[in-house]
Amino acid sequence: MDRRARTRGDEARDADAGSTLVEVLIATVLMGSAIIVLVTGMSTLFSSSIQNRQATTAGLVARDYAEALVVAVAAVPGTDPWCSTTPYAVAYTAPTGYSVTTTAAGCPVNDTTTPQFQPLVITATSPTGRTETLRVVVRKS
Amino acid sequence: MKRRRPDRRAAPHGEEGAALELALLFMIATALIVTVLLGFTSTSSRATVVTRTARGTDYDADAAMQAAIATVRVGSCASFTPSFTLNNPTALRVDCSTTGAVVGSQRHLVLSVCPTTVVTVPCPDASSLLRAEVVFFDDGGIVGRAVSVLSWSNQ
Repeated sequence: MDRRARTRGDEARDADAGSTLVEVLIATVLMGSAIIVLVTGMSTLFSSSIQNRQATTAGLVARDYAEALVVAVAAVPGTDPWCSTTPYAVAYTAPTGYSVTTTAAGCPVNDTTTPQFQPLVITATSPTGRTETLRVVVRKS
Repeated sequence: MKRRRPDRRAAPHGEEGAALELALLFMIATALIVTVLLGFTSTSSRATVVTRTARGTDYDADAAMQAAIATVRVGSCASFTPSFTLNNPTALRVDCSTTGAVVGSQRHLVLSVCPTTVVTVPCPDASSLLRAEVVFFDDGGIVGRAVSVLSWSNQ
């Protein structure tokens, strides 16, 4: 009777002994790894989303500036030289955190035989420093 | 008579081994979630690139057209190839053709921006990225004294 009772007790303990501890350790490692991967993936997603959104917005800023630039060049009085290597007086305000700069090519010789156009590079910078460039051409109206 | 206990291997295991199975399930679920998240990121990045390329194509066509108008204004109606840097690597040219309407000292011309991969000149409308009908005024003793853009059609 005592022997049978000991045997049952031993079997009961055997069911939860040894392998359960190993399983729990392995499971902890696996789940920990999964959580790390999940958190890292979500972090990558969020940062990538922010960068892409800012890149798209910077592109829009560059486009808006380009449209305002064309208007500004067209508004130059006919009595004045139409071309300038210094920034044109563009009526445009970039959104908060964004900035726009232009790099203008040299002006053509202002005569009646030289094509009167000027390439410019518009650079829009996002709050995180991401830049979008847009190359445009303005011409004498 | 001694009652025989059922074989442990054949008996239901209860929660024995459940931790490992749950961990594997969690791993699979996590992998699926991460895959979906990375898919969103990849799509977002691709959309940004596609938007940038499309924007570059639009402004390249516009820049080529503006330069061609300025060139034809002081010259003759001929194909123009931009020598300045464009947004996209795709090379463009601008073809010039007359509309046949000549009124005094006015030149009525049609300009079409075309990828250089299209060999047909002038550029067929189906391949044209941008088409403009322009009048150049050569009066007052000045070639290209003024310019009037009659139409401006994007593809």
